[in-house]
Amino acid sequence: MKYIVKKAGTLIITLLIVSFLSFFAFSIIPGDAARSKLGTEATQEQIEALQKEMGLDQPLPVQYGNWLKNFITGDMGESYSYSMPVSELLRDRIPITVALTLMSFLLILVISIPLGIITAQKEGSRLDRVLTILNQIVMSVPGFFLGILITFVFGLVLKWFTPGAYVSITESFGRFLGYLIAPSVAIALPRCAMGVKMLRNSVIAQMEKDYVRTARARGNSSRQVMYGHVLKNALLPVLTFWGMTIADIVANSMIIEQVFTIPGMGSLLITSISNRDYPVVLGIIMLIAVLVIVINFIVDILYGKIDPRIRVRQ
Amino acid sequence: MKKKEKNYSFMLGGLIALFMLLFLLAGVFYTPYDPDAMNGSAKFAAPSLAHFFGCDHFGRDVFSRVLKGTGTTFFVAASTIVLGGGIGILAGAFTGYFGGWVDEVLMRFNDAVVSFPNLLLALVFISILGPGKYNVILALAIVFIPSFARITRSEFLSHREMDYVKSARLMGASHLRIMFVHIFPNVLPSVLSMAAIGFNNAVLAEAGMSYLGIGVQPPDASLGRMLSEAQTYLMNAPWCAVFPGLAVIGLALGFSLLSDGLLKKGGR
Amino acid sequence: MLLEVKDLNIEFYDTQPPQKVVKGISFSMEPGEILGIVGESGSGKTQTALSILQLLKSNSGISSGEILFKGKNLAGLSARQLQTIRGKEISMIFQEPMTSLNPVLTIGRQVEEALKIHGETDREKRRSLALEALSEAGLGDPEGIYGKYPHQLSGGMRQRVMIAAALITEPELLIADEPTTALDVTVQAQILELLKEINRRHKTAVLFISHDLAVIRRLCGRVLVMNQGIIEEEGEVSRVFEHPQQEYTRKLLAAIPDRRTSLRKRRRVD
Repeated sequence: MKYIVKKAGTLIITLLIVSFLSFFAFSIIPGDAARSKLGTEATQEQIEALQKEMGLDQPLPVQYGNWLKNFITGDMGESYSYSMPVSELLRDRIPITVALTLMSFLLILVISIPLGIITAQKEGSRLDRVLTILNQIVMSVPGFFLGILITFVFGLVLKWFTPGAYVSITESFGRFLGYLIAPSVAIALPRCAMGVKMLRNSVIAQMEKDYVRTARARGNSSRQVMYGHVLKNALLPVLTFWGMTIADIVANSMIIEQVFTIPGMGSLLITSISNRDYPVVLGIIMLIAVLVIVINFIVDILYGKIDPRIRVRQ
Repeated sequence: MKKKEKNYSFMLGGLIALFMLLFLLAGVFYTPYDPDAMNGSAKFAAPSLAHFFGCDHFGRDVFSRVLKGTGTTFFVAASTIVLGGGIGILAGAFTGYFGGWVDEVLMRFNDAVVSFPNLLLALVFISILGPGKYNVILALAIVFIPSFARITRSEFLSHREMDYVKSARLMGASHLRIMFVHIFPNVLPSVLSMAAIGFNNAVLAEAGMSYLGIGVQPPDASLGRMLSEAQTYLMNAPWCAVFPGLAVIGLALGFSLLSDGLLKKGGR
Repeated sequence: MLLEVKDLNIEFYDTQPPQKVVKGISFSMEPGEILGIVGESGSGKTQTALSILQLLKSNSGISSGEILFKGKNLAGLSARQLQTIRGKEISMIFQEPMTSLNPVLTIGRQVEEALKIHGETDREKRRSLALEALSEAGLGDPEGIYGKYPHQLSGGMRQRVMIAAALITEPELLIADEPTTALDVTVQAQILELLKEINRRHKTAVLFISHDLAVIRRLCGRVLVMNQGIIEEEGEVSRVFEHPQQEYTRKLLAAIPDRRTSLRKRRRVD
């Protein structure tokens, strides 16, 4: 319990630092918000009036405080180009990106956990070399290119899905998920090789440990040794990797959404960067930052759940 | 070290990297066609002897465009590594060698930054700086500084305590001399390997950002933008997507294999 | 006859040609006796101990010979058949109490695991037997220790936990591979007393492996002296220590003059 409180404290501090840095970064952008909102033909008075209205004449820490207060209550300001609240813009898009991220992550788990265990049991240096090379190759394939290849092969040639025919959640939840399969594969596939390798190496390292011999001496079958003893230990180092993978998936979904024309947060982020629509960009970046930090927090908690050496200090 | 094993990663990586280098170097001096010249009659021409990689929707020669685009991608990635790596290595060397509170603060900051995906950070900087070749370089370089600093720091930290450094101190060598004449050659393999990984990441990030339209801007040729345009005509002219894609993979793969090989050469 | 090892050969496969580490040794054990095997590192004593339950690492194995346990040849059993013997009829404890327990499982779960594997389905019964085994192993507050994790215990306590876990099924043979080597001297003595006590009370036979002659002398009735894969000398402990017949045994005894003189002194006090 004490461990969780301590970690939660770190979480909040990190969030504050990150939010301040992001806010600060977007405040020093040349050409201020009032000017870009009013356009080039605005008079000096108009600009100053709007600056006052938006609170831009106040010192930076005060501005940050106001912005943070609003952000926590769900008010992320107003988009320049859409003239509507950022939170409203994001509301329909967040579930899409979340669904895509979760599907990709589940795919990675479903593929890499069994493969990691199986390949560890059949330890051999040739397999290791194949995995390493495979890993190197997929690491060098840009995610969007893989997306384009999948579109071409499975969409255009095999016609398993219709590229670009996105179905919204409200229309049909089943078909919405169906459309997300191809992009999820494009995101998940490159990360599977790494996932398999991590788990495999971790399991192999654990199999060398003394407690495995003890477990065998007690009459455990090799199945029982794996699932009752080794796996729990072997998952520990892999947990961190999975946490990083989720953050990585979110970042890459920004591109993959573009490839498959999915109207998620990614496509909004890209348009907003091109339009210099800073409230939207800041809002999305902050949301992702919160997500990354919360995931790190969850990983820490899970770590403590599995590993008593962290949870209970003597 | 164990029995001398053939270092396939290093050989293959070196081969691919060398091939790509020759390819893009050729592109600097010579392209079979003007990469921007449109030719209505060659619209969507399939690969042939006249056009190795075929033509795109404007009838532009894909081979010439890939040559130029590879050049741009390489230039961006290499500049990123020189800039970001240079600053990162210096920062890591000084903080690792001298330690102290500056080291503490920088490393805490580092830890926070490293947990965020590179691509996302680069997007933040691009949205602040605006798109364009040089801004991409700057954004990526900033993003890469922490990882270089981290590696270099930990290497310097461990070498600082080694006997050869102590004896150099006793012989009256200055700190700067110890850092760059004595320690640096020893940490070079891991720094080089990091540079190769960074290069791989930079290639992919540049291609990704250009694909999204917020990276390299016209008139600079760009593999990422070629891919984005090609997507519309995927059914008519898949070669417009395949060859730029392969060029990106070649650049990235060559250097990541090279990095793997370098690590093996370093005996890890 | 409880255990009879006949012409046992063990090889390491990862060298070319395979390296023999145990070269045709034979010995036997009566029920309830404590037999020591003493030797330097590399003498093959640990390989011998591990081979009985076929716990050798994958780079080594029994190349020929028989290991008869109550007349059954363990060397010829399948993995499945072995599982019914391991932890039930023969248990084993190891040198490193710090790493021989699973760090992420509670002590209770590890102590009662052998019961679960060998068919005790009643949870409450397993628990009460585990508590009993823990307190018999000399651990005060068994209830408290039951829910703890290995890292919360000292080395000596962990070895007691290992002993409790090994003996909970009341096996006929306990193989102890250098169980006191990693412990400091006072704890070492306590563990030896515990093993003696268990041997007396339950008539559990103990095969005790050690490099330490003093430890062997304190605990065992009979001793085998191993060197480079063969048994140099075999006999009653007092006889081997007082009148070693082999040159190697004499050298081994001479190599630790302090121990020997202190042993003599102690005997005189006795």
